[in-house]
Amino acid sequence: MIPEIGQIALALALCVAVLQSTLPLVGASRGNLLFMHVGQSTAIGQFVLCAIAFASLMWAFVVSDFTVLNVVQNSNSLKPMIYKVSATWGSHEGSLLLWTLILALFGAGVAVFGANIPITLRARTLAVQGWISLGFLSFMLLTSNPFERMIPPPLDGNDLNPLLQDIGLALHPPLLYVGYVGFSIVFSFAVAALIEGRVDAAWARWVRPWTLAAWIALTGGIALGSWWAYYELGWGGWWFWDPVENVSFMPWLLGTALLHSAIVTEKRGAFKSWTILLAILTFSLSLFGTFIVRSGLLTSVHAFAVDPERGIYILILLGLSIGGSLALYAWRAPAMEGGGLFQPVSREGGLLMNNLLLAVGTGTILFGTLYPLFLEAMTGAKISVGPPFFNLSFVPLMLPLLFVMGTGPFLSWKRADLSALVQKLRWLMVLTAVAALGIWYLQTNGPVLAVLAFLLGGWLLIATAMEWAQRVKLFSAPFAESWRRAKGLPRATHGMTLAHLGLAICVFGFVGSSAWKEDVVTFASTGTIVEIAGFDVRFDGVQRVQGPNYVAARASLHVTRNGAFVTVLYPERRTYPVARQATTESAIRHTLAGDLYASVAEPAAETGGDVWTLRIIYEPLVNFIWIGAAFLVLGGCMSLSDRRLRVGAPRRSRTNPAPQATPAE
Amino acid sequence: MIFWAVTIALSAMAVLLVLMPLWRGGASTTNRKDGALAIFADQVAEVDREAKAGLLTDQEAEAAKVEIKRRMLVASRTEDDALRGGGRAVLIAGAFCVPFAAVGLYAYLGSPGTPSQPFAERSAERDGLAREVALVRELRERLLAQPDGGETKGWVLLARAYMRLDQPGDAALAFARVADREDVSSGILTQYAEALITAEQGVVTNRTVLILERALGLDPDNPAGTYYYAQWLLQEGREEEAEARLAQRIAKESVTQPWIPFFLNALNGLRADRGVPPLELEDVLGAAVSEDRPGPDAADMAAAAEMSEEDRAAMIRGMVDGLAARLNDTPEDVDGWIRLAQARFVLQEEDAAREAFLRARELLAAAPEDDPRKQAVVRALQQLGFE
Repeated sequence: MIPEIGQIALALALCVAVLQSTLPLVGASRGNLLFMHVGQSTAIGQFVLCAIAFASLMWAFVVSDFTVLNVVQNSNSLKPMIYKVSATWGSHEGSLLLWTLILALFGAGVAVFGANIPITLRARTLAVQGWISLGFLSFMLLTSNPFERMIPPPLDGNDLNPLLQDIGLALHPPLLYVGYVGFSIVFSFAVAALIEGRVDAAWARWVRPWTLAAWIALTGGIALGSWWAYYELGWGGWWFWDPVENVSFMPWLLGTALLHSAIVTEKRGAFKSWTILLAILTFSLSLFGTFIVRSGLLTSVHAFAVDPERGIYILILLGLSIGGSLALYAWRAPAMEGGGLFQPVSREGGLLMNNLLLAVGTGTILFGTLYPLFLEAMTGAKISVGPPFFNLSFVPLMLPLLFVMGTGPFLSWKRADLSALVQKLRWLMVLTAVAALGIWYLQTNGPVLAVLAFLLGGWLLIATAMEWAQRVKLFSAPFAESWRRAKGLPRATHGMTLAHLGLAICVFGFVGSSAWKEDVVTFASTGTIVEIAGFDVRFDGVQRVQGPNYVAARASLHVTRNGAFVTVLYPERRTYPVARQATTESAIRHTLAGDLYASVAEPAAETGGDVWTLRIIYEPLVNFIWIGAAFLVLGGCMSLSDRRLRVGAPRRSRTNPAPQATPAE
Repeated sequence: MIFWAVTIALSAMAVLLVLMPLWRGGASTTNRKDGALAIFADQVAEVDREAKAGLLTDQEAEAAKVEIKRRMLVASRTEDDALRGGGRAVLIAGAFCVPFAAVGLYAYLGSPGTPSQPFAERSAERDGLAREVALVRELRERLLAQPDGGETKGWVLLARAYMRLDQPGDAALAFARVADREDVSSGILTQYAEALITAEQGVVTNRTVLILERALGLDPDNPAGTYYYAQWLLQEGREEEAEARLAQRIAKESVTQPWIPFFLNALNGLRADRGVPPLELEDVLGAAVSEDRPGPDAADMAAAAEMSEEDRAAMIRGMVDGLAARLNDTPEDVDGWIRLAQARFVLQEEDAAREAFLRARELLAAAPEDDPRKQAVVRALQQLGFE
């Protein structure tokens, strides 16, 4: 019965979405207060109903109710509980439901916390959000119903894929989705502003917290996903430029650009139409990403045709949302008045560079991701575009960005004094150059790009720290004074500093772990010693270990450095007899300086008896990536908590219609 | 019923949520002008603060403030549209449409009242299966323990049990034990082939073809063997030969056989591909047909009972599975379900038989009370201990 309740909740949600997408719009154009308020009540209702549906599906997974087809296909009674729960969003249907739930969550967020947003803008935004819900709910109910029943139920479910039974994989999709779908509300704000015909500095401020929230979640999701790939897939890499990764990275890049261009719109009233366009494109890329991944289009053009009904619906949805919003943009955006003027060397100029580079970077990735697809559709040839393409095209684009990132925060609005800036940064340049020379010395014949990138990472790190130090007069004033100043800075400023530092830290990780990685693959038998990055790793043979639902071959690796004992690593090769699958459990010794990463696999022919394929990788600085990502998220949260984002004076509409500014902080 | 009570409660909740603005009319609102002015005022304050901290020169601060104040002026000149009330009737009407539309949509999509069956509550089913699994294991161990490698009959029994448990791979292994023995029959070999084909998800491998050829060598008329051999020919793209094989085999019969409808079905599928009209049972059998009865029923089963055990089992199994597969495509076929149910009953697969009878009863729900099929189904269900 409970699955049926979930289904009826979805049907109700669909009907509520119809009201949500129409009445508030009418209300906003006619000034009807009641209809505008319907936007809020339906957004909340939408969320409650979707939450009931989602809880019903989750219940079916938790108790393994195999009368639900989705549970049969994606779960099994033997799965550990946490993976039963995470299987709820593991399938196409379930993930759509989660999508819709998050969509409704952001709508409800604006309904509940958006008291500082003007009522007409809020009503229109919620209506646009209602359109998106309408599209998704109808798509789900008509082509991908998660509550499809299976009578008679089979005795047990089908899915036991052990590779997917992993905590990182279980948890990162919801985070990613909060990011993807979070940009929906920014999109809705943009479309609402286009309908309203007004974009101003205030608009940018109203939209900022929602953009930040989505961006934080997306950052976290991507970082967690790469962490999972790093320790579970057993290849020792953390980013593969895989299409699935690219489609999450593109909205992140554009979202980052949006975050920065919105600052210009807020402070100077400039970049208005560009900010709107970024808002539309960011969500379009999110939509595109979800659907492209889900439709199987990426594996092959032919996979798309397997389920034409879904495919066509997806194309119509994408066409309506992306095409419609862009058409609206083309129609309304030219009417927007321009903002304040600025010189090329200025804060605005720096942010423009940032936007330009991020947008071009996104375009590069989009090209690399889609090109094989088009080629296959046109000529039937199958090619893959891999890391070499992206490393040569995307990475060089990002290097100037690092440079600009270091300098930008020093620049003042409108026009900046270049010579004064050089004066300010003189020491910084010397310092970075010395650091780079040091690295050059340590790493002769090192890859040029890597040294350059490392240099720029250092530049960014020191510049960001210097900028902050200057703001709080660190060392130039008594410490107490600096402390007082630091406390007085807006949280958004701290947020920026943290996020920029985070990226600098990430860069060290990216460069260290890819350019200076050492990788040894060898056939090992008991007693084999592998030398890597100053470590001596001795292979002490393999033991059979019995796990709860698998059998593992566990290798012992005795690690010493200059004769001193360091650690023992136990990489495993697990075989899941029921699922007839094997997984690699790598063993990693984490240190800040670098990870020693070991994985083991049976040799191709098991004739060798005790000969195993041993792979040992030394990845310098790799943990900096996730530490940096944590800084990014932390910076985002700091910025989100800035109380200026809550400025705005809600008042009871009946009591006091006279305009009155709130007191300054 | 609880389900409908919950549905009504959910609908009521949805309606109330939509109607919330009716009694929260005085909720706080911000108009555009106030909101924008508040933000600009905050920006001015921030510039002041930065100037005081020495991050901006006085000149820069003044310029910034002038710019912001200009924006404030623009904002304070814009007039928000006047707000008005009304629209209550439309809202209430809209809100009450929600549950009706939703229930209508649900009626189209859902299966109202279908109960949940949590895994934990299905232990009886599992116990039944566990018993069968235990018996199978016991049989296997007994066969393995015998010095002469175990009786052929025993291995065949074991293999069939594996087939029932949906473990065709294990069934094939069991058949393989006896496939090279002297006393192996054509029927056993076709069942072996069937197990392999099921394990390979419908693909007839070269190894399977060799087994089928042996089966047909022992008994060229073996219907199941012929059928699968034709499947292999089809897989190889030799449609004409496949069609000829099927047609020749039917032509040898003067009286209808339980397997003939399946042959005919396959034959007509091939004819449809060529754009040739389908054959009727009479066309292939001529006047010799005693009774036109597509698909196996109880009488067919009785007739089949006179054959050798292996032949019968192989044939019935193939036919029943074929019928079940066909019913997946045409689930509205009441007679088909009744035939399937009867066949399952004869095979002593009581659960499956009950399932099929229940499907038939469901489809017959709309039929008149005096429909003989309706009574037959009810009787059969009673016989199976189902009220």
